[in-house]
Amino acid sequence: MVDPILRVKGATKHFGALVACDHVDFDLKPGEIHAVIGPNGAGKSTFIKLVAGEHVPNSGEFQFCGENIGALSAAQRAKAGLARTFQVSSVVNEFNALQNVLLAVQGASGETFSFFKSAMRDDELMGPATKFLMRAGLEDRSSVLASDLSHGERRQLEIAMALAMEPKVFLLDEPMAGIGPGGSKVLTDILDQLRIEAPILLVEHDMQVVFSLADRITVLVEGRNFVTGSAEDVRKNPDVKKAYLGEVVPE
Amino acid sequence: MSITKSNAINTLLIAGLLFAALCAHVLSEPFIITMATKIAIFAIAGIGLNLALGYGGLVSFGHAAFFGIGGYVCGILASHARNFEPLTTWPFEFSGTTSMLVIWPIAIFVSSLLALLIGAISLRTTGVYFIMITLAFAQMIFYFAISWPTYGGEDGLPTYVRNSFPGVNTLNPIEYFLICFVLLLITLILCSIIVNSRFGLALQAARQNVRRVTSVGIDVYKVKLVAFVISGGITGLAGALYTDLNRFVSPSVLSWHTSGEIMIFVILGGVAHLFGPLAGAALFIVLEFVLGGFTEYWQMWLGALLLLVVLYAPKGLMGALNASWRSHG
Ligand SMILES: Nc1ncnc2c1ncn2[C@@H]1O[C@H](COP(=O)(O)OP(=O)(O)O)[C@@H](O)[C@H]1O
Ligand SMILES: [Mg+2]
Repeated sequence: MVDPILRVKGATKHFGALVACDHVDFDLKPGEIHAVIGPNGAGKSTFIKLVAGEHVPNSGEFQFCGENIGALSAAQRAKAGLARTFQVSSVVNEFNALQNVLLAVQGASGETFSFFKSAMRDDELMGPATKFLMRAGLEDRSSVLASDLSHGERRQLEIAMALAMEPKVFLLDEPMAGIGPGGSKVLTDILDQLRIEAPILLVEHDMQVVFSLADRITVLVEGRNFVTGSAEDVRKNPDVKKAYLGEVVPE
Repeated sequence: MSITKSNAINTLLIAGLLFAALCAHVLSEPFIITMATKIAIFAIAGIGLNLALGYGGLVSFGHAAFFGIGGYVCGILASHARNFEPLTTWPFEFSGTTSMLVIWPIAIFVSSLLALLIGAISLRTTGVYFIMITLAFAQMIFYFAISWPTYGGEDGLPTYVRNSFPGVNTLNPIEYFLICFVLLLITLILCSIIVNSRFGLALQAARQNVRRVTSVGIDVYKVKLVAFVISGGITGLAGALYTDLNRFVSPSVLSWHTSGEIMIFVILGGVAHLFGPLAGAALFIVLEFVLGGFTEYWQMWLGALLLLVVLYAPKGLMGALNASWRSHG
């Protein structure tokens, strides 16, 4: 049995009286896509923020590659190999697509405090940035301002930036958000390719996408673990269907 | 905007300043040379602030602190050297200096150090709180300077003659102008290099989207703090030059008016435009001169102009110039 690369025990986050995450357990093994699903407001995004270090948890243990990362800042966790995408695209709007990816390459390299060499003429940055932009299918859009990209292209840019981090784990928060049922073929293909790079914690609302990609699924309801199991088990679980209250789980 | 056209405007601006000073020299108009020198010095101060405000989005209302401290470093070092009273006797005796080449690095160092202290605390806040806390720090130093009698207190500290620079008669207006002009060029080049570096990329990204920059593993607080320190150092250098221009330094350089003026250079000229502070400082000084000739209330007209710029040309003078050139060219 392989050791998980990411292991979370009892992650808890309160917002005032609201408990957004309530003792959530989760683990991610090398090579797998482990989806986290659940109705709106179940605490999925909050859980990703806890793992990424954007929220301070009320309690919980976070282990990454065997190390306790509880004391690391969000930037330190990203540098250590946790790359995330945002549910609502969050890119640098006045930068073009290439500059956005370049920033991610630079962040991963850890050499931000360099003052005299032009970043846009630095082959060490430009080479990888161009490559990752291409991997996300945006090679023709490299000089377009991020704010001028279409919604779908911004989703791709998010993934290009995560790729450019060359992470040990991807944390993807609804990569298909706003794309429509079934997701886009381009994005699904890109996501399928991602697992070759690193295991994925996939939060996704689109069940079709989840069942076509995920190896394991954890269902969260009201901030608590509801079920965790193989995609097959979860699909057949009658309680899951009930929890979704009419949301379609494909047979 | 095409790069060559914006370059042409920049070149015109910098060449215009040099040309004006040289003409004034030929026509024996030292007052005009002094105006040109003031423009160069204020432009340097503005370039310093622009790095924080324009590129980093750090709206500091306390840059008078750095300008003033740079000015006082210059004044204090010179006054000790002239009075033969050692500034320190331990761990080594330092009797002050009248050499600009020593004064500048010390002015830059001290104002950067101050920026590190002020920045380290202020950058824990954002928005209006950041504006207020930087203002508060600067006011603290202002009141301290007023109440501390050793260096003249409220009356200020005269330095009588300009400090020295090897091979230059610094008291000759055109020669002192050329010193400031060359430093302006160096500051512009340095700033353009920094802005295009990895650090510059991270700084500009951090202005737009802190969460995103953090998520690619960059410590935004550190990036902003370093920018604030460089910014303070550059503005401090300008302060030292200003003391030498006037042969006098007083607490007024530390007052919030100075912070406001430096901010006006940046906003008038064009935020996050490399040459914006130069355009803004030039416009400000010329307007002060022209309007000041007509009316005592020139600052009201300046205020009106500032309002127009903010409302109708948010990218400042440089933004407007570049746009009109593009539509006509
Ligand atoms: N910053 C916050 N402050 C207060 N409440 C929040 C905050 N973020 C999320 N919540 C609340 O926590 C719950 C879980 O939110 P979220 O994790 O975004 O759910 P999901 O991503 O599963 O839709 C929701 O009820 C939401 O309103
Ligand atoms: Mg969510």
